Amino acid sequence: MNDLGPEARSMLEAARSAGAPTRADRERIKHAVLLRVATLGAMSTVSTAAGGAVAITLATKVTVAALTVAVLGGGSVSLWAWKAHMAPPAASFRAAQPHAARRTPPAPAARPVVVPEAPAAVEEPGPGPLAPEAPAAGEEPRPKPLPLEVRRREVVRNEARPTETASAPVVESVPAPSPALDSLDPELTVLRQAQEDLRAGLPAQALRRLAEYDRRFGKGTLNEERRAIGAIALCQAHPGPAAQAQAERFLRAAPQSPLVGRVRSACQKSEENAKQFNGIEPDREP
Amino acid sequence: MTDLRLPGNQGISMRSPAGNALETAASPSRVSVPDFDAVYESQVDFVWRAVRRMGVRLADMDDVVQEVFVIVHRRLAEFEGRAQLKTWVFKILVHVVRHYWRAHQRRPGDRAAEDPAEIHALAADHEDGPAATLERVEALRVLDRLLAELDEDKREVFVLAEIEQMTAVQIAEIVEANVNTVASRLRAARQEFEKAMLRFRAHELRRQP
Repeated sequence: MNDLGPEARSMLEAARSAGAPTRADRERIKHAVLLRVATLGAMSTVSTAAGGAVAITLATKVTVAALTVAVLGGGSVSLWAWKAHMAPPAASFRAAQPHAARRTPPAPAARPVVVPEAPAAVEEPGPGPLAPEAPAAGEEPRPKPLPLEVRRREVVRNEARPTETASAPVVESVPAPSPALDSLDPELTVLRQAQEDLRAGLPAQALRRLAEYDRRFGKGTLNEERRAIGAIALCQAHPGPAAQAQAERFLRAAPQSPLVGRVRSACQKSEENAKQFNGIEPDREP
Repeated sequence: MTDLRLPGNQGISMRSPAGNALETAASPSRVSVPDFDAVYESQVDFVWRAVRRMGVRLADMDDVVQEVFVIVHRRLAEFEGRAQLKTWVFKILVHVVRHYWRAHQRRPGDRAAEDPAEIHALAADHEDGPAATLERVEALRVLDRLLAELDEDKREVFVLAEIEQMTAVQIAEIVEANVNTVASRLRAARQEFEKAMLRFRAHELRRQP
């Protein structure tokens, strides 16, 4: 019935009690999971608003963003309330983790990330002399960021009554922007700012934020999300083979990511828009 | 096949539409979404252990376990309570680990057994002395080396059955194969594991003076 001998059985039995994570492992991973979930939630509006930025009017854009929040925002408050409850400031949290150092050595990543140490300079045009493709701030196609924050906050506040928020599934939820959010985690803050740039139609500014992210966090906890935002931003700022290649690298490296659809859609839209408005293939850019 | 005691949903608090924490048994007919916090706390030890024994390197553990729970979080609303919670979570786990294997394009556990950080990780949580810690580390290291001899299909079935103590029916659901396939994989895996252990012991004997 069982072909295992006594030695094998005793070894396997021992493994059942010996292989548990430490308490620090549990807490560190939980923190990272919630951080990533929050970022994914925040990103759920990016492609909607930014993807249509070229073609739709300002009013439509605001409405789309507001509606998205109205639909998805219900589950957000419980998540954020929970996070505020459990999450210590990220810097001190990390410093307190005995195994935090494990993440820092340049060991191969679980996700087959192909990002070099300084991806912004190579893969994405950022600011500065190394990135000739990046337009200066003045060349941004959009005049200024929209005050979406206020509107979104109002919508969430109106829609999310306590009984609903406590029960709504927190799947793919859009976090309610709040002062607590910025203090939650510096990684999340930078990515959120980049998302806001995308939402406001400022992809080059988003790329600069991501360069800042790379400088500060390297391959951080939210690296996958950072790469997705980077691909979307690049597709919007400089549609062409380099942007497509970066999007494809992301899609290959993280095929399970919930952001796959957004990256694909943003990059397809940007290609189509470039062709439609320029009447030329966007590949001519250096 | 070993019978198993599987922690099911008992003790997992569920959220009812009204937002009250309810035990599943209390209201089986209500549509409820498990609470992520409770799911995490009840499953993370199993997930960590199984992921590690399936050959994920210690340096990659955080990323892989995180990935599992990010997906769990995202799909929690889809969990209908028809499956055991652990079975449902492990289905996600197997999916993520297979992706890890593909991405690394090597046999699972090739270097898992050689991870020097394992000692520190284990020592951090156990205070029963360095000798006991070393013994435990050595036992796990040998186990991982033997598990690495199995190919992916057999290894995942073997880990699920022999360490996680799941039934063939549960494993079949997790790995998306039929029960007969699971049973024959497990039989083959046990035989290969025993052979690997014999080889290992023979090798050890040769090394001794």
